[in-house]
Amino acid sequence: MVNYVLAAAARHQATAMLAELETHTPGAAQRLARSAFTELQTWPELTVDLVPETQTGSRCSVAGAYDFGPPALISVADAASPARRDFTALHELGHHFQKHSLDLMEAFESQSDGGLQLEDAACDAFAAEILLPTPLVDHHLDATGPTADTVADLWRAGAASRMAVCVRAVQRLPAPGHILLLDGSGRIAFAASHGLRPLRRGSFQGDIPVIDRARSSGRGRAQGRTQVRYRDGILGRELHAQTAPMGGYLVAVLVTDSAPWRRFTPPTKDTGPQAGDYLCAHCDEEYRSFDPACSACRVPHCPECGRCSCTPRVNEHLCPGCFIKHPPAMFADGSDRCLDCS
Amino acid sequence: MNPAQSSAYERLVAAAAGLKVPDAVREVATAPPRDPEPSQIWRAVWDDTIQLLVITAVADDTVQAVPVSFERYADTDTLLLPAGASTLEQPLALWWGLQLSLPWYVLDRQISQLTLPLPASTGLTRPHEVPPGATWGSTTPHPTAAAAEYRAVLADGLAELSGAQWVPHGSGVLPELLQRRGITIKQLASQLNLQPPHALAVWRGQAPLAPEQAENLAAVLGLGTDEVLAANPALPAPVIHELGRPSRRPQVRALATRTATSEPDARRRAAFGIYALAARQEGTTTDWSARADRYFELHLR
Repeated sequence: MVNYVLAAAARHQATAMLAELETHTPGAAQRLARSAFTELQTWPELTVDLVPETQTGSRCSVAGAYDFGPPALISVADAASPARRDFTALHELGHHFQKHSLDLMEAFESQSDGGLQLEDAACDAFAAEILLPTPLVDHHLDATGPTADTVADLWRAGAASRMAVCVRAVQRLPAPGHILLLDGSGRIAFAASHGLRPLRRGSFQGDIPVIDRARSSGRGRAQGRTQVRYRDGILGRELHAQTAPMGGYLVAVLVTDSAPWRRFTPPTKDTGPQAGDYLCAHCDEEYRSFDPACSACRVPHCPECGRCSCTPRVNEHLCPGCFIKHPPAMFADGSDRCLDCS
Repeated sequence: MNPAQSSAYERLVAAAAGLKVPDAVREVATAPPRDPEPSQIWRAVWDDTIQLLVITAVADDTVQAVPVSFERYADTDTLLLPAGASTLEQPLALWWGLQLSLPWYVLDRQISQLTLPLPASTGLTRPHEVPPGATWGSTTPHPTAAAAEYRAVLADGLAELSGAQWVPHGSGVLPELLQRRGITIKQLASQLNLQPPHALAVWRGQAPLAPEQAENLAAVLGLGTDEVLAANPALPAPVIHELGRPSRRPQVRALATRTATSEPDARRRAAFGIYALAARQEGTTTDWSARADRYFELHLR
């Protein structure tokens, strides 16, 4: 769960990092905003490499990495979008500053995890602040918070990636919620969350009510209430949602209350995550489950018989006495009835 | 070439040039190493010990394996497999009763694959049924003493491989010790004369203390040096597993060459490097495999 204290601490840390950047290399922030990757390649203390995205295998879950060395090394996945590549390069530069400044490290000492989460969140905030300076963000996102249209406007106004814009906009949400970037198939290309459990990249949201309407309308615009989908079909609480097109993608702003596009938005009922419904293929039990699904059949284990939907490895026989399927060990040689019935 | 005038190495190269390596062996031996599977024949290597093995079972971090040799020595407990029993196309001797559990990280390269199913049990007891064409060895024509000595050598080699270790054993409570004494990152850097990034990694429990550093810190903490060393970081199990995969071995070896260290030292260096690597990652679960990819990409450029 993202907490508000951490988000505030990350923004505070990012401000200190920007001051450190200005002391380190005066005027660098503007050059980094124009092209972070190109600028960083000129820094003698850093070795910055572009790694083909295919080199990271099918997982491709690590967009960038930083090793403090010496020498300090940064690798950035060769993403399709130069803007996304720059955001990642700036995120890694954030690690470089935080790991080399004993003053910046002081913020970690009050964190229960040694500041691991704070360091990462501050890197995002630092990158977003460079790519989308506060005056530009203030100009597009007013005090009521971001709408789907103002998020898209902010993206068009700057040189930042859609991802950076989502990170910056989620900081301005007036209530717990998400800003989602969805591709044409309705899958999450990027998700920034605030006060709610984060959503997984790649998860399909294309058929949840508001997103579905936005996609089927052909214009990418819709608003209303919906629940987002977590792992294995588990649904989150109901949220107020609004969508807008954003350069071939769909941006969706979802909040629990205080939706900036409405005059008055009461909080939605906190129904919490709702488990998926399943029908057991073996014992016909109808059940709901939060358990992780089997990786093969995508169905969690039935609480009644303990099985998922996979075909059993053991060849079972139906006993005509008790009408229960048993493994071969339950039958004496030559007998068609199980040991319990014979 | 006149053998009398050539070196042993030259004679070996000349002999090797005359060998016909079966296509299946060449294919599997030159392919990128993959995770082990039962019935595969592997070369296992650790320090100076080299041994051919048949994998009989695979668990998360270990395999059960039986030593295998080309049929020169045999005893009554050796299962002799015909040439058609593996893609090596050579008769093989399977040394029954020597099965041991070995860590994945001693597996060096797969060289072949059995084409016949082994008996279900490869333990101490000899099975009643053997694969088609296989027979149990006898004391003749080879002298018993030589076969017994060969079995003993194999047993020793397998014990060496089974006992191979590289994983540091720390309880991981070092950060707790430092924080309980109120030692800040700045103080730690000053006390141990560490660069800030390294001081942060030690303070977070992502980098181990060397014995001399532990001795230095022990006085500050009011503890014994051994107690401080015992509090060193514990590596996450998925990192240990990832570095034990045969596909990582060429990378670990390349790192060892580059850093002029031993293979176990390079493995420990990589493990803590992967653990402390700052990686921008999608999803909520740490993808240690992708992080390991990135670590080696950074360090083997």
